[in-house]
Amino acid sequence: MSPKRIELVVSLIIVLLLIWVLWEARGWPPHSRLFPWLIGFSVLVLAVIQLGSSIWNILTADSMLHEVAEAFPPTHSAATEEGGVAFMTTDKDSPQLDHQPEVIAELEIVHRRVIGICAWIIVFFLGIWLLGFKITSLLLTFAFLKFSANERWAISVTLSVANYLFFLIVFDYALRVPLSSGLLLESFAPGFEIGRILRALTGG
Amino acid sequence: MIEAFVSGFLQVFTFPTFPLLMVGVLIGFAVGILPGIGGLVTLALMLPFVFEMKPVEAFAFLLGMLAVTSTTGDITSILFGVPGESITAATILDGHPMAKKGEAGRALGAALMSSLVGAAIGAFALAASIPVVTPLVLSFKSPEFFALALLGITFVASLSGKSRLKGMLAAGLGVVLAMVGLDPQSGMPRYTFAMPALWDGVGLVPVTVGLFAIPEVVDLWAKGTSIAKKKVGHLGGVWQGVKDTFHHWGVTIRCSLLGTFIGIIPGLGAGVAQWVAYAHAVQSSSDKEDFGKGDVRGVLGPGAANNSALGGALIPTIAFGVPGSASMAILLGAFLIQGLVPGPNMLTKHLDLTFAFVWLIVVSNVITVALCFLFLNQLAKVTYVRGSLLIPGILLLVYLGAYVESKSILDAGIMLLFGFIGLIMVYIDWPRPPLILGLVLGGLIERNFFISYGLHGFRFLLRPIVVVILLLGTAALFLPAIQEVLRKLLGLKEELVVSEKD
Repeated sequence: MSPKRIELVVSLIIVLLLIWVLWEARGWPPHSRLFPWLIGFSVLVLAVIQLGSSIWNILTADSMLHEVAEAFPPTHSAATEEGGVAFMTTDKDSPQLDHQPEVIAELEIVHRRVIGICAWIIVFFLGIWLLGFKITSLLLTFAFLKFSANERWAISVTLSVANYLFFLIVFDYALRVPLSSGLLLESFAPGFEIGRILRALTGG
Repeated sequence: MIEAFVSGFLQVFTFPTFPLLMVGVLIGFAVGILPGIGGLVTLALMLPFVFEMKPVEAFAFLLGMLAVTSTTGDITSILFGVPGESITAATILDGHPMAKKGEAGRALGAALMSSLVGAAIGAFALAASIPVVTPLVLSFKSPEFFALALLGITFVASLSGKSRLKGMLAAGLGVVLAMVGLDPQSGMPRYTFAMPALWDGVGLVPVTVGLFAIPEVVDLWAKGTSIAKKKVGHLGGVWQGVKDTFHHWGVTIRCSLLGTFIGIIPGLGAGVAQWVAYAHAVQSSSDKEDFGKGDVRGVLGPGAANNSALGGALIPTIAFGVPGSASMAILLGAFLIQGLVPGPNMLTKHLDLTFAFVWLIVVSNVITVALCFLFLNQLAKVTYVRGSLLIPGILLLVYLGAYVESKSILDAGIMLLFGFIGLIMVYIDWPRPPLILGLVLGGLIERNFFISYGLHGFRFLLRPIVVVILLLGTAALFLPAIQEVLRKLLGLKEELVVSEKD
């Protein structure tokens, strides 16, 4: 989806969200709803203007694309998918045409990498939630470096252990930040806590 | 006041303040040198670590880090032609050509020494401003602070350039977000989805870290950034650069003052200061032909200005709670975490802390410059680190940062949510700092609104200073738009005149 269409969806969500904010406050005592309504209505006005502007942008962009498409028939079916990039590559005389497959391939690589890292960000969250910070710092660092970044074994193992020790020593042992042990460990092995064992061994 | 000035100095060298300053400086060092990880993101990442610290320790850590990023950012700009920080981009114009000519050491010496001079001038400008702004701030009451908070939001929103409407909308959403939690008037839960964990509101840290750090991580991975591909030889001629700073002392001092002044103006900051300083360095020189090809004055100007801007930006932040830039908006969050409210208290009750800020900036820059001179060759090698190696560590820190405030996995989830919101905002080109500022100032706006409304009703909006401040805000918001419309109209008129003549 092009940025303009996503902006339209975002603007619509914001308008709906603000309507909910105002609706939610309707039953509150007058003193309590004064500020939420004051802010809510002001921001809603801005949001509606933004929504109008987003719709206008889409309409004008669509009509421009239509005009250009009539004047210059598209040379590649995938071109129209990429918004601005497609607009540039429909011109036969455009110097970009020579690089069109490269540009599309490059965009595809970037898209794939973005989706990949987003998945990793979620996996790290799930790892921390289920396994806790310390185990995640060891396992997922290794998994990311080895299988996603294609790093060598030596680098992957060294950095994973370094990350693990960093969390264990700095946060758990020295700063005594109560790091979550994760849902699984807390449910199935509540007494197992590496930092506590380490402190007991060293008398810390 | 002199007592507070001395006390501020002494506080910097106490334990554990000084070691924390050193840790902050070292983090700032690495962050400044590595392109891809900005000082702003690191500031957001480091916020959760200050919860357990005393105010002076917390600001030693944060300011120490922030103060040096622009100094070390110059190193990458000069050596590789890639800005280590967005605020060191102007240094490339002459710094990198100097490196290409084999004068990398001289350029670095000039950048480092001018940075030190600039930082010192900015910091002492902050100290000098205190006697001037104190009576003004003390005369302000809740209605004025309410108006100032709105002005702060307006300035940052107007920073959003062409997307001013989006900036205002983002700021408004930030204020709405600040309403989540218990109502300060009646104590009833607002927008909490029946989750007691949200009674304290949405944490500033998870939102800030999510909005800024996650898009940065995605960017780092998507680009497949390797920091530097070129090898750097031995760096000589550093002392020549140091001498240049004093040989061209006029440029250094003027650009430092310019940077301070631009830093004071809310909404501008070091990013603008560096370019204005560069333009001034060019304009004020009789021989301009070497600029852009490796003139040391083109390094001195931006180097001094981007450092002095920090001291300047702290003036409105501390005195009025009006942040001069995005990093100041996040720093304002640190004030709230520490239970400090910018304004009169910072100039009376906590004056020693305010003066400690001055010394923290100076001392951290002295340490940085000394370390840079000692380890310049080794520092250049840091830039060979691959971005992919940093990502797991950053991700873990990001989640830890979100988690540590409330020790709740819900905050890690909120961070994740705002991470993706930040990603979408970057994709559709919506500004993120106004949202943070709205969240930070939302509580202040609400509190001052209710005190003012309770005392004066809506008549508080007619108080002279409030009217002036609100008019300033309105002007900041609409003036650029009006100018644009006028420019278009005039352009159209000129075009019509030309076509009629044709």
